[in-house]
Formats: sequence, structure tokens, C-alpha cells
Amino acid sequence: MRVPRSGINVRWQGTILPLLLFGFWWLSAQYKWISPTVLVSPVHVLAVLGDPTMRDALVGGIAASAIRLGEGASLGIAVGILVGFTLALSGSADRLFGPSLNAVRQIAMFAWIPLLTAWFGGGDLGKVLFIAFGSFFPIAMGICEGVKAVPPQLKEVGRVYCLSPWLQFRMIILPAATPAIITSLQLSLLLAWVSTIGAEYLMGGMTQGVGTFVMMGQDQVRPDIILLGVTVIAISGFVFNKLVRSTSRYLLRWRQI
Amino acid sequence: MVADGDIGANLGTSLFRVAKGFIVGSAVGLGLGISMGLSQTVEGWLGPFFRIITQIPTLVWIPLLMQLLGIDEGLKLVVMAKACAIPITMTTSDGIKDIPKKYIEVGQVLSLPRHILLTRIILPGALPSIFNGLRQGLAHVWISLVIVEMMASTNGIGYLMSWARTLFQLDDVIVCMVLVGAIGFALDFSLRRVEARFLRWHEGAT
Repeated sequence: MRVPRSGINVRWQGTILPLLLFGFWWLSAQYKWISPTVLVSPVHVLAVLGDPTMRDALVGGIAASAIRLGEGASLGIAVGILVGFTLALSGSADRLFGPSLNAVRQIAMFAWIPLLTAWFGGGDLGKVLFIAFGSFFPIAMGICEGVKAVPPQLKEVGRVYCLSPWLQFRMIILPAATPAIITSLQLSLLLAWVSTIGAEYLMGGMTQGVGTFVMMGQDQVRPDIILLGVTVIAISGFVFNKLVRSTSRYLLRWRQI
Repeated sequence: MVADGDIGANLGTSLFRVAKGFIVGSAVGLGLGISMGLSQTVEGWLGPFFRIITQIPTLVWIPLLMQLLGIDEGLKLVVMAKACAIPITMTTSDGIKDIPKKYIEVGQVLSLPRHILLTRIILPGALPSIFNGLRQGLAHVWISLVIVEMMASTNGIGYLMSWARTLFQLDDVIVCMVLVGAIGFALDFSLRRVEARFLRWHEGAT
């Protein structure tokens, strides 16, 4: 019989591989196994923060990206909620626009970047619209499917009680579809974050942002800037992911009884 | 653009890359997924690190990988393989862990040798989730290739698209977009057909 392992033991094993990789990175940079134009040691990466111009560019970039994410996500999600409910509640709207929306969705989000930059430029307008575009689809589709999946028995209860259409929506459809809505909201926010980084990587333009910070490092062939920027992005993505997931778990806690 | 063969040649390049990326990525993903699903030791060593990596989208890593690998075929292969391997690893290892214990016990009662247990019970049991991962993986290969070609390439459909945008030939941009969508759809559709064929026995068996 195998004794179940303790949680601590498992965690200890899990840290070995990242630590090894980190050590390998450090050593290979220290002893110049890899050319310093390609990879520099963690010390050099942190040294970028000592340079006031760089620090300002990074901190300002993080703030600019966060604002952009907020603007794009709220625009995309607001339109998505509107469109989602309209499609779900009105059969004729669904028949009119549903197929075209589905066709548009087939095209990978990032394939829109060239067209969006051509139409709206690579500045803030184009980027925010791209983020909005990315966050729009999950929420619109999620609401549409969530509302349609409300069990007919529940709707019948509403009709039996002769509820007005608004009350039927407010008391029955909305609560029943909430889990689906929150799940798709979560997806929308995560996609908005990816689109923010993608927009900053791919759309260029004279704006600030963490992604732009990385691109600047690439233009100037500064591996330290690239490494720092990518690390900051990775950590921020990890934190954002955790935050969104735990918030939605918190909002849905009533479901797990 | 269609007439002068630009699209055909670039599309061919891209599709060839997709094939390479999918083969390497699914091989890595299946290998990792099966070993993480079967062995607690592998899961304990690799699992936590792997789960952290999964939370960061492939796109974020591209500048770093460009720095390490240059902008040649190697970069595209690594980006695609990574994008492809992650969903496959996750679904495969979850699929194996979710196989009902009683199925495996049947195998043990019949004292089947390990490889038969693997090929007759564990892999078929996990096949639906493996296919799910393969489909996600193929979709990710295609999207990540388009992105990496837009960022760092001198050929391929993604490059063609951003080049046409630089020349402000928006009609060409739109043609490329429609192609990107159509190919994504076709790739998924063909894998769905394969899945339907392999999983015919599975219908209604749940």
C-alpha cells in the first residue's frame, strides 16, 4: 500500500524544474555560453530598473496598458452584453445577425489586426477597438447560449404566474443564465488581456504600454529590456488570471451547495 | 494576387509549417500528457511548473523566443509546438486521470501486462479527451503561426497579410483574412471527421 504523499512534498518537487531552468539561465549568461546580445543574466535584467528613463517607461507602460485594457474591455463587454441579450431574446435578430456573427468569429482574432490598423491607425483608437473586439465575442456568444439554455420549465413557471416580460426576464431568465454569463465574462476579460498585449506587440504606433516596452527592447537589441518586459507581462498575466478566476468563483459560490 | 501565385506559394509555406508544428507539438503533448497522467512522480515534478506556463499565452513569449532563436523556421516551430502541446498535454493527462477506476481494476484482475493495459484500456478510455486536445492544439497551431508570421517572417500567409497592409492593399488583406478563417475552419472540420471515425464505437457508450 502506498502512503499518500503530503502536500508539502509535492510542492517541493514542483519547484525543482523552474529553479534548474533559472540556474541554467543565470549560469549560461554568467559564463557567456550564449552571446550577451541574445541573453543576459538576471542581475542585468534587474539593473534596467536602476535606469530612471527605463523605469518610467515601464511603470508608465504598465499604467497605459491597464487603462487601455479597461477601456477596451468595458466597451467590448458592454456591446457584447447588449448584442448577446438581443440575439437571445429576439428570434428575428438571431436569424438576421446570428449567422454573420458566427462567420466573423471563424476568423482568428489576430487576423483582424492589419485591417484594424489600416482603418483606425496604430494609435490608441485602433488598439482599444481591437481589445473591445476581442472581448466582445465570448460574452455575446456566452449570453446568447446561456439564455437559450434556460430550461423551458422555468419559463413556464413565469407564464403561469402571468409575469410581465420584464419580470420574467428579471426573476427567471437572468438568474438562470447567470452562471453562463459569469463564465463568459471571465473568458472575455482573459481575452481582453491577451488582446492588449497582442495589440501592443503587433500594432506599433507611438503609444506607451508594457508590450510597447518589449518591442522597444527588440528595436534597440536590448535583451535585458525584452526579458524584463516579458517577465513583467507574464507575472501580470498570471495575477490577472488568478484575480479573474477567483472573483468568478466567488460570484458563483452560491451554486456549489 | 491570386493570379500571380503569391497566395498559393505563401499558403503552401504556411500549411507546411502547420503540418510540422502539429506533428511535433502533438508528439510532445501526447508524450507529456500520457506520462503525467500515468505517473504521479512525473506529475509531481512537472505538473506545477507546467500549469504556470499554461496560464501565460503563447503570444507573450514570442519576443523572448525571437531573442533566443532568431526569426527562422526554428522560432515558428517552437512557437507552434508550444501552442499545440499545452492543450494536448492538459486534456490527455486529465483524460487518463478521469478513467473510472473500475476499468483499470478489470485489467488488473485479468492480470494484463502493462502495455496491453495501456493500449486496450487507458488510451481508448482517454481518447475522447485526447481528441478534444488535438482539436484545440491544431486551432492554436494555426492562430499562433499567423501571429508569428505577422511578427517575424518573410513569407507565409501572416506575412502576406501585414505586407499587403503596409502597401495599403486592403482588398488583399481581406482576402487573407477570409483565407485564415476558412483554413482554420477546414483544419478543425477535417480533424472532426477523423475523430468521428475513430470514436464511432463511443457513440452513446457514455
